[in-house]
Amino acid sequence: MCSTVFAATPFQLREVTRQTGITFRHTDGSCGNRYIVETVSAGLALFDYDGDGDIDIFFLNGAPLKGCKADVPPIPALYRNDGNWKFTDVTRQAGLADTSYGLGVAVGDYDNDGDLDLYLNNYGPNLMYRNNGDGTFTNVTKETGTGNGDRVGAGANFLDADGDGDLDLYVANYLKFSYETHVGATCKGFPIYAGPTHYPRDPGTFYRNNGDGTFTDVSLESGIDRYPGYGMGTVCADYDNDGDTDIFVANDFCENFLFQNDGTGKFEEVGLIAGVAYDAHGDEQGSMGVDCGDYNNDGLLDFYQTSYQGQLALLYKNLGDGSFEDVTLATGAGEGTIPHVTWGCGFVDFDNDGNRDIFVACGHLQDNVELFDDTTSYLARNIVLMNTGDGKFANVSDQCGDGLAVKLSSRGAAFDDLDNDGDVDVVILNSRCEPTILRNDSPRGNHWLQVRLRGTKTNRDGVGARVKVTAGDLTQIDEVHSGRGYQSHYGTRLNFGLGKRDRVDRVEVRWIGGGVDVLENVGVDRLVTVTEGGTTAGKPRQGGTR
Amino acid sequence: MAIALGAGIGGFCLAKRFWPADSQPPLAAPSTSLQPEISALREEAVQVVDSLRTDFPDSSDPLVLMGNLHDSLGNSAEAMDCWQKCLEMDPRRADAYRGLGSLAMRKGQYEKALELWGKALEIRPEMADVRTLSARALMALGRPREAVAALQREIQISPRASTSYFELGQAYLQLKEFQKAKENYQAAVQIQPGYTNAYYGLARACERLGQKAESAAYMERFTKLKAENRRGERDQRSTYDDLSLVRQSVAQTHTEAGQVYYGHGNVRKAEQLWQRAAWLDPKNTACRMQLVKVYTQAGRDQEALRICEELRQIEPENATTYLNIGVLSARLNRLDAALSAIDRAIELDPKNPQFQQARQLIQERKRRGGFQ
Repeated sequence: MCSTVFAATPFQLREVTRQTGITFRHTDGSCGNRYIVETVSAGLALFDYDGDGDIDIFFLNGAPLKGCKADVPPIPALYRNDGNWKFTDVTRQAGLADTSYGLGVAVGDYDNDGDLDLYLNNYGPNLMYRNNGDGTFTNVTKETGTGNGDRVGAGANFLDADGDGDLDLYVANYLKFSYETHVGATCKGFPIYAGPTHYPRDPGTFYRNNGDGTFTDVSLESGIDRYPGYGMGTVCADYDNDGDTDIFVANDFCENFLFQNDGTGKFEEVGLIAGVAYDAHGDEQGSMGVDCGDYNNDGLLDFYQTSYQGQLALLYKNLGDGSFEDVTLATGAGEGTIPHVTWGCGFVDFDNDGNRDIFVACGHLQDNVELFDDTTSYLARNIVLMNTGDGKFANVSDQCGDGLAVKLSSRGAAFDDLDNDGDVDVVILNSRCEPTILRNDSPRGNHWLQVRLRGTKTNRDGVGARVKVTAGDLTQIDEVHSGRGYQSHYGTRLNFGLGKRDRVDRVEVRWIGGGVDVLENVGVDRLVTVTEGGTTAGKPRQGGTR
Repeated sequence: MAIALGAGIGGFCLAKRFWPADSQPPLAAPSTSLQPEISALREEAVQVVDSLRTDFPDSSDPLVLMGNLHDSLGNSAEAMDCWQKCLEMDPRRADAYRGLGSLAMRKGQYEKALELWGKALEIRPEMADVRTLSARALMALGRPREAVAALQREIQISPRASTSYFELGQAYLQLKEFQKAKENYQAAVQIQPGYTNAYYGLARACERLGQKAESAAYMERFTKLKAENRRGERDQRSTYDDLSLVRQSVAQTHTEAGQVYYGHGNVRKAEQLWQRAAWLDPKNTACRMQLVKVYTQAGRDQEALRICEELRQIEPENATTYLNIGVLSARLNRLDAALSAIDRAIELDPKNPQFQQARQLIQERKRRGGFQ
């Protein structure tokens, strides 16, 4: 891997999986038939399911596919964070021990009752789990009307598309697959997984929250239904700064979609004119995951999208006029990705210097690829690209500690502060084996601020709200997203690195629907909770701290 | 009377074949019988190259071929080993450097790719495409200005290389010189009107120049071409055959091996290999062109004509093929057929003086009543 040597090691990500007590092992349910759904799973979620102030982990799992058996039916895994890097499997007591084939997950408080619910986007019927607030969940798929039929799932997102205060639901569908239409394939005589373009495309599904615990499928009225694709990772964000939430769908081997919201929950697909449908050459990518973040602190949300072997993972820079530019080559944001299939990704400020770095999860989807192409490998090391602060990135994977030496076939990746020490850690779901948990042990010295939102009129966790943090000469923005990266969820709590700045001048929150709250003169190295309507914009008031 | 058959029939050329990393793996309906047949074909190719090494132990050609073969089989380590051994034997093998450079590029080792391609160009400054490849590596390294220089030189060597103009457009976009980007994309589509991605580049360049209407028009053209490409890809997928791809690759090995034998004077062996290549790959033009040359030189005009007819089926718009058919038909005293073929050649390439000359000669012969 090509990398630049730095005098000081910028980050340290230590592999701590074994010490956590996490024994989850992913299965893709395969037994040699090479059904396409096997190799593209799965995502995971980081969220505080029990509201105790620390981030728990939910891993999706596969299930035996046709012709395959399992002695013990595999189930997903919910691990409660007990603190001090210890986790306990609470899947069964939480009521989440289902045997469906999990592919994507989104987290959001759809009923605005103050706890985080779960949506599983499956191969087969999807599942909506209502958080009961007591550490358990109830399957409310039927009641909510969000089963989505019998399709191949991918990413999913909660978002308040119509600004009415509750969370709607976007569900990406990968493609139309059935066992009867399964396409077998070979490459140079070796059996391989056929690609998505051998199956019909499938449009996403859009559910409008009715506000009474039910949803209505408004895919047609919203305009979503008109665009069949090969949806994989998705992220919802206000890319055009017009106060509503738009949707980016990373499509596997067809043009990406960017659904621009008109503010009422109706969408127009603008990917081509926005410049995110294709790469800089005009080629479709085997797009896998997508995240958004402001990598250059210009107040505009950019997108980072992962892709197939032979293709760079791409950085789309937001130009501020509704369009984007593929700046991957100019910034070095694709370094190291060409030989690999890349999946989960995230804009994460690992060293809290105020610049968002990039993490990329890697691993081939052909488990025998070395037999017919030894320039790549099924198992691969993940990649960390450090933001050098001047609009460029450098591959520092070789300098980041043993966490980046792990070589597995990674898929979903999620990022949050698992030990509440002010820096962001990493959890990776690896196909067909144990996950990788990386503790951020980066040198201390930089300040930080974490922001948690509490909606009152808008959705409870502030999904879609825009937060702007100003500290001296540094202004950063972020949004709360539900569902992002590769079919995963993380980041309900926002993290802002501040570098050496020891004071935050202003925290501004723009809620979906237009309300604004402002905190001024905020201390650093703490978690602040901003409650909607709890401030009068412009008046100095200290937010709550941990 | 003899009419030269030089033009258009490929001379000896041990070109490096590039098997790009598949972004979408080729596929076929699985068959349990495929593996043995493909293995047998691979073994056959290996044996051909092994025989070459045995027959010409002091030649670096077999090592290049073996490297090409391993590369096509996905064995990059073995390919690298072969090319490196080739260079130990003959440090002036630009094609070995080219192959090594391409491997490095596929692995994302851009600096290394540049270094290797640089060596290839030192040996053969006119080597086709290498500067364009280097330009891609330079752009990947964020050095578009150097990429521009490389591409401008490439265009001097190959003025009709639409890809080079496209890449120039890409480099100027990176440099934010949008007018120059536009001009180069336009040059690309002038040479190749169906160059889909060039229209995307034009749309983007015009957008950045504030030429909204033009941008929209180019984007529309891009979209239409994209849709056509997709239809073509769907057709390709429905008929795609993994076995067929392997056969093509093995045919390529036979073709290149034949060229080595021919170069060393073993025409019989070369002919055998080219015949096998033609059988393996119904669309391989290189081996067929070699066969036409061999048959023509040996006075086996009927056989040469048969192969030319195959070439015509494969490339119905290739003017040179019609020229050759015309010449061969004339040698077989089929003057009407000869004229008809030459007329088609002229239709396809009206400015080629050789075609006009051939026509005049055949007409003169016809006027004189054919062979005496």
